[in-house]
Amino acid sequence: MLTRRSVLRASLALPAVGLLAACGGGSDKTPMTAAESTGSGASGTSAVEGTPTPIQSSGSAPTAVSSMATPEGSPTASGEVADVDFTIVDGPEPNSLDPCVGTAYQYAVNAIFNRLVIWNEKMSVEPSLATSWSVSDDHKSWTFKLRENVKFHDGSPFTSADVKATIDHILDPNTKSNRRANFTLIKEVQTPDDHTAIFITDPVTPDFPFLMADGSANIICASALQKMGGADYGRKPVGTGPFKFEEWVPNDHISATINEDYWGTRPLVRRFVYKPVPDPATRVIVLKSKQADLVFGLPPADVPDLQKDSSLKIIDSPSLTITEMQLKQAKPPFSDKRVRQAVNMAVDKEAIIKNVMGGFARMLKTPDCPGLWGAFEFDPLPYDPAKAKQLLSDAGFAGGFEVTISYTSGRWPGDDQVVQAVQSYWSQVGIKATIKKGDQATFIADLTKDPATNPNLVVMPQRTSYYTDYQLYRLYQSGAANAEAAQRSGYNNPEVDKLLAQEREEFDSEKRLPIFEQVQKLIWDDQPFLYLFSMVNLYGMMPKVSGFTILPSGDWVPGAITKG
Amino acid sequence: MTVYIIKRLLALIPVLIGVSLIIFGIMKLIPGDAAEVLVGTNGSAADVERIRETLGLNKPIYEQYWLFVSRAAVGNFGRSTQTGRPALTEFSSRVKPTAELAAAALILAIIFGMLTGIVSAILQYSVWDYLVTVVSLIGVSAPIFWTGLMMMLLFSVWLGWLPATGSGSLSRLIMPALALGSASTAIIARQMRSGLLEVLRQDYVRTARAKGLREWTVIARHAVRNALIPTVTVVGLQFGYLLGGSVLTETVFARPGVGSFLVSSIQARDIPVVQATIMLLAVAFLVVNLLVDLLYAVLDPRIRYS
Repeated sequence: MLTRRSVLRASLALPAVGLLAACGGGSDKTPMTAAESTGSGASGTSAVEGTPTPIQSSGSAPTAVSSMATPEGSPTASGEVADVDFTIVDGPEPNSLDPCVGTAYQYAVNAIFNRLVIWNEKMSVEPSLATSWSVSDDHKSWTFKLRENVKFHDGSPFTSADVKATIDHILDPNTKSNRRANFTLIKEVQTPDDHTAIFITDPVTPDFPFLMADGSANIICASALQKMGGADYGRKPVGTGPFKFEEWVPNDHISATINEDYWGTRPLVRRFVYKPVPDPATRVIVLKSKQADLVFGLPPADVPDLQKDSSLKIIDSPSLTITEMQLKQAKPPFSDKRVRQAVNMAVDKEAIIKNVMGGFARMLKTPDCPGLWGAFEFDPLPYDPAKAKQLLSDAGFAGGFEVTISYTSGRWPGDDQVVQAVQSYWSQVGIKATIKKGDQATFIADLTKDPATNPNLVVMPQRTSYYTDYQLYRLYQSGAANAEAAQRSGYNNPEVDKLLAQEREEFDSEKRLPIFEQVQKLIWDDQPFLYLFSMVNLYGMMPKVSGFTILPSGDWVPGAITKG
Repeated sequence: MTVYIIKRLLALIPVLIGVSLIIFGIMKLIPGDAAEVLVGTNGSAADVERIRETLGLNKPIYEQYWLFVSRAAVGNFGRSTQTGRPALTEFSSRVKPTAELAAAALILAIIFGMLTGIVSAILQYSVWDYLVTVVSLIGVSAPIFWTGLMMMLLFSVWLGWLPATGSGSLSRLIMPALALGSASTAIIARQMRSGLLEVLRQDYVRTARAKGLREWTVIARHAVRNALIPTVTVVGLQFGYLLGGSVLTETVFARPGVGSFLVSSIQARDIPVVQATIMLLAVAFLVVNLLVDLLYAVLDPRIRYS
């Protein structure tokens, strides 16, 4: 039997903390290094049993205006630019580097573009291309002051026209923007002068600055877009970021060279390279043979071996990506709360985290994303197969029932084994699960299937949410659950809907937090999903590399990158 | 001869129509479409519907197919749903590394396969023969992703001689070509061995020896040349295997190329790219086999095409 302490140790992934202790010595001068971000994340989550606590009460509300002039330090970084490549390796090949079209793009896009505002460690926002912002008294218009003397890579100056062009581009029906629906509340972008952009929104939203930190809202160059057209812009992007796009050899690499005129902290390496390596085993080889500076997406099973290699640094940092199984619950069996509680109690999640995920995952204790402002923690239902059986029989399913678990195999390391573990735990309480492996397209078709006609379907997506309303509204609001395809579990709680409607219009963060707490408590009691775990960003790097940040959002922030 | 070639090329047309129908049918039968993949798990139904409209995916299926065929007939395969660029551009920007890989693997397979096949036939039941048999067995049985990873461990991690991934230089071609070519080498070696053994029992070989020719001349001029016909057939068919194997090889070695792109395009339900790629690969395969048939006449003067 596992002791509570051993489980805690596993779920906090101490190995990485140990590494921190080993390498933390000389890094106190650089404010945001990858290594330190790990530390703050690992210790930042504290749970007091019984009483729900805001996970990130220190994070600031989106409406708070910050007016830091240069968030990433002074533009004149000390030190010479070394004539070396900085190489990042991950699995996917992007389809486009147009920020609002691309999927699996963020490393290259983060190197080439800037947004108006940028996430920080606590998932609130800081100035980037905007220096300050404010909302009008009627909450309908947001005014952003833009940074002056910023140039695009093609030499044209950055002005409010580019901000307007970015929003127009996202909303253009001919752009295949994948998050367009989030931006349709922007009714107008006004540009009273070159360095002011005013957004008129309907409905009003207190989360507007968060929307400007979305990956889709990276600012594109109006004149270059007009000259090239969308498809070509996605192949030869022009941004304001620390690296200028150089070349993209499909499925081989994307490279960018240093932007000598960068307005923020300049990296101290000449070239940025992103290489897609689709096979996880090959990524381990790339790391071991030291052919990249940073390798993402390491299989947890290989990590203990890699950690023994003192010439590598293996780091895990908090991530906003969560894994859960969504239960289609418009009809029995999952329409019964007792059944949903039973499927949660039947699964030993701590054991899965420890044995399958190698400790590189954290137990979900909130219907929100752990790590977001406004996320509250609750006690997870204990692993109790006897109680689960009892609940099932109370609900009239003493003989169990059959379900199908649909998921995408090979999307993240450990996915097959997690599904198999759930299948075997469920079989112990009489639920017979058939596993359906598919590619992403097959899976999305299942994810969006009508809950009313597919009552025994369970789907396992991985999701990333960037702010609390984004997570709660998308997953638990009954309208979003039924009409819009992103979430089709069929979860429907009128009380939850009412509270969500309230918090969406509440601009006072002090008043908004209690609503967040209340709505999350209701949802947690309903247990609409099988809550599994939140992921960690697991990556390996060369020990001499420093000067960048990996954020919980999955973004990496190029700062004064050096290779020692 | 010319008439024969023209006839064979014309026969391509029904084959290609069949291929296009099958691909289109399968891509439509499997669940999910390009719009859903583009939007992913974070978008909404409205986003999916709008992209479907942009891509023309909400038109009736026969209309979509007709649109495709009528355009493909004049060499326009449409635009990739993933990147928005012409499908042919996407194909041609990746064809070079795959062609290099397939050619290198085929050349390796032919050279090593024929040599070891000849050696083991001449020295039948010797240690060399058994060794070649065992190594061939391993070559055929070991999957590419396993041999690939083992080679990377040896040459990239332990010895540090070769880069593990990428393309564009000879050092990056060696391991993928060996991994991809190993199975074909083994098959060609087995074919060469059994073909040669049969020929060596023929009367004309005994006659050649009887008239006092040197053993080397007997083997090279009389035996091997006659054993080549079945081997060349196998080589032509191996080309198809190599194209298929390039998918795995490119994935394991993170090489850019048509194979890995085809897989990701199928996963993204990118029908224009899948159609363009498979049809062009089908043409390449059929042309290679036509060349093999023509080669018969060169090898064996008794064969005539008229």
